[in-house]
Amino acid sequence: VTDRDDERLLVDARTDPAAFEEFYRRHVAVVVRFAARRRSSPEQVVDLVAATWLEVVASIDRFDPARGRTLGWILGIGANLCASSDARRRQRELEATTRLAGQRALTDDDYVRLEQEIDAAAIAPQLLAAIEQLPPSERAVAELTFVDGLTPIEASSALGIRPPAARMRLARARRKVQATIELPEATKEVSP
Amino acid sequence: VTTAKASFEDRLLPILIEELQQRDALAIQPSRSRTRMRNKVAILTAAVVLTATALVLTSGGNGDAPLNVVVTSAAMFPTLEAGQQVAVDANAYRSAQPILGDIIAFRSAGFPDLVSIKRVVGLPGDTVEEVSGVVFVNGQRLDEPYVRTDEHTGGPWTVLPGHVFVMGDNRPNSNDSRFSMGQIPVGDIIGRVMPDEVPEDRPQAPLPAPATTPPH
Repeated sequence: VTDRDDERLLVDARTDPAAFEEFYRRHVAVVVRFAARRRSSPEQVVDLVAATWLEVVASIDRFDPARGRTLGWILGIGANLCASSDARRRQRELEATTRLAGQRALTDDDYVRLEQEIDAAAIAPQLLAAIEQLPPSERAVAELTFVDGLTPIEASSALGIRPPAARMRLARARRKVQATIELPEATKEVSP
Repeated sequence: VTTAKASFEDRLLPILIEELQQRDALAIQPSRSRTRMRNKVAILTAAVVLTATALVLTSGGNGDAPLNVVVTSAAMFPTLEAGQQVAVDANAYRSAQPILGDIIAFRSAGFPDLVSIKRVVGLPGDTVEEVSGVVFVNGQRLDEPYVRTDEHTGGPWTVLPGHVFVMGDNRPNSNDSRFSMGQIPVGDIIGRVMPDEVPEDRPQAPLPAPATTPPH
């Protein structure tokens, strides 16, 4: 089971709960970190993580292994949730919260752990502040590459745009962000 | 005694798997070897059957034959499993009211296209409370050997006139009257799941004292 690659696992997960579990365990930490960078309280992190994974399940049949890696696909779903209008996002998160129901109460351990994730995510507050000033189209691609460590190509497939468009937006974003702060030399891989 | 509780990631996983299985839970006992195409056909067929079921009921058909409904979620696990087909007696409440422990099929306002199946744990005027996973009705503990429970605490809720309070037997994994589903108007009840479908049909404790509110 463990030697299946992520893409194969996600395809198998459509019909095989064990494959889904394996896939979930491989990637849940990345999604938690993703959410911790964008939310400021453990409850909000949980809501975003749950909403993202519920969306992953809802769209699982639409994942096309030919179009890119799973990590970009998952974070793209999370990014789209974050980018969608407040009303729609709140609706999705409310659905997630409703589905979680009794499971939602956080344990002390959850609190400690998630607070740590949020603190760790705050290492680049200036970067986040600079990215927040960008127009939405550039912001999404900048977050996924500068913050979450996707390659521009992964970011483009995550956001459903063509790679040249992603590179162009990224170049613009980079210029604007660099006018404010010093960007790290290169984006790094975040896959586990 | 403090037991280590699972992280929220661990608690999220079964909900996701339930969601995953619900995608084609309408298919009656799908076999693993079936092609996706055949699965889709089965889902569509089942959906049509379900819709037709609801339609027959709304048009007031009073056939005596029980209606077959496919369980679409794990919310009643372990009593009923997703994919299982149950017979619903649509005549059960023509001359009687629901009682505690009945498993009912109904349409809930939030999900008008779906038939939901839950257990009645509160009748009009009752006070229902959940304390660390144990349900109390009018202060009396319900002994429910059939449930899969957790540490959830909620309520007390007072059951409205003309409504019932329902919960899924899979307490950690059920959207029901405790949450956004709310209480179910008696008029929305389609019927009662036939007892022979269900191994443990009734609460094992003596029924709680009747509500202080008189019937009618």
